[in-house]
Amino acid sequence: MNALEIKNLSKSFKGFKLDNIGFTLPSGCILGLVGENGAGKSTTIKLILDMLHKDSGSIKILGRENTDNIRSIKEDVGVVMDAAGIPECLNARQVGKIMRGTFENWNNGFYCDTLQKLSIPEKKPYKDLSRGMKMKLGIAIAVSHGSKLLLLDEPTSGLDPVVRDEVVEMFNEFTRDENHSILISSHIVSDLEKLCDYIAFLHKGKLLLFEEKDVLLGEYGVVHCTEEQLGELDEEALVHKKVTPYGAQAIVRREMIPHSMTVSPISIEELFVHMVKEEAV
Amino acid sequence: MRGLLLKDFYMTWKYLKMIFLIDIVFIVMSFVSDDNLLFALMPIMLSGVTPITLLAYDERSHWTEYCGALPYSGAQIVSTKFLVGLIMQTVTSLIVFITLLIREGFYWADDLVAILVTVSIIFIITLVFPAVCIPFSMTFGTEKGRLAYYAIIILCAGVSTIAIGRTDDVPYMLANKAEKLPVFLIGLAVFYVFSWLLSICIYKRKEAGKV
Repeated sequence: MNALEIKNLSKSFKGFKLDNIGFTLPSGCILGLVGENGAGKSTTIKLILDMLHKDSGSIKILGRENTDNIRSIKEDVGVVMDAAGIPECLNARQVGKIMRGTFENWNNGFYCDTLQKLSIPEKKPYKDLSRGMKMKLGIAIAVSHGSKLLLLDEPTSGLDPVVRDEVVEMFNEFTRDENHSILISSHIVSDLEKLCDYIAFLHKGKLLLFEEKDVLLGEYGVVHCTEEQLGELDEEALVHKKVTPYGAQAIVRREMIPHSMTVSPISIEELFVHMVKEEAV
Repeated sequence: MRGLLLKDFYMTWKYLKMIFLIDIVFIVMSFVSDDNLLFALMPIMLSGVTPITLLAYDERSHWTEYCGALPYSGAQIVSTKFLVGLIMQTVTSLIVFITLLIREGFYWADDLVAILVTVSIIFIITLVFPAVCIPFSMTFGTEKGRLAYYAIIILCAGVSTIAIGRTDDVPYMLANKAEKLPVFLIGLAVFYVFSWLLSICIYKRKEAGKV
């Protein structure tokens, strides 16, 4: 079963349009939604949760239309927002009690264990927690009610590298269960590269690309050579090229490059930046 | 909905402690001032601001947005604010009622029904504040919701002045039409229920994720 199926999804605001996007997240997988600020990542997540009303298209969460009893669907979906949304005066213990009265399947034992594991102080008010702690608390809530799908909006932004690594490890642990899936949006592409099975590029409300990460990394590569060597390559093989007085660099389709030429691995970040710049040859 | 109510009670306790202290001061003052009911009744009027204060804190912490991702219906989210407001007002009114009973017992040991009626009148009139502010706050945010309340008060004062002639005459007019008071109070209660239902409609039409 697919955890998430989005088809022809559109939503218009004044000055912005999410334009006919579609992708599928199979169960047990992690999909990274990559895009610059204002690309439409948060809008997509809010549309999935029916917090915004779509203009057209369809959204299925865990096999059910998102407009069909969304409250019951939300029992199975853990959400972490960019602005976490916990009232500042509350502490983790109080938040646990509130969530026990919110989710039917709230597992307080698991929540307390997670707090302890993540070293989140139970009695410290939310406003006194660091950005990393706040995010970890948001994640602890999201995974403590038997969620099958996590929707994470920029969960790693503003975190230091150590905390980011811990958070990424938590997500990896969550998806060890094959019924668990994650949709994670971020503009920190390096995190997504470590974590994701699928990558979707969003740019100005348009879906530039949706593909399995390994396919992307297998399909594309980087060539460093002279301008003359670059000129000998098949035009179809070149995705992007950059020539400087010191040499040439190009993003290429690996299978169209002669075996004699060395092709270095490409990072998702490089690929995204080049696609966004719309300078493809 | 249990979770929402619990959250609002935690927040009420945390953020409205100062108002509770002021309530205690008013209650103590009411014992000192033997012929002025205002001090005793003020706590009820102050309790009317509870829902709007909570909405303002929800907005500030982005709870309003986060709540849209939790398994609650729009009716539950809105009703929590009206319920918390009603509970706070009821508890405060009971405390004021008991205070007045004790106070009257000290001085005149007078009419229990008169005290009950006075407290009930203030209770219902206080409902106007959340009833006006919540629908506006749901639509435009809490800051503009408060402005709307002031605008309506000024408008009502202006209209009644023009209609009656002079503002000074209003208390005399009300005193002369005491028999119409129940109708007026029932009207306010109906207005409160209407505001509750209207707020639910506004919330449902509004997009929770739109900031």
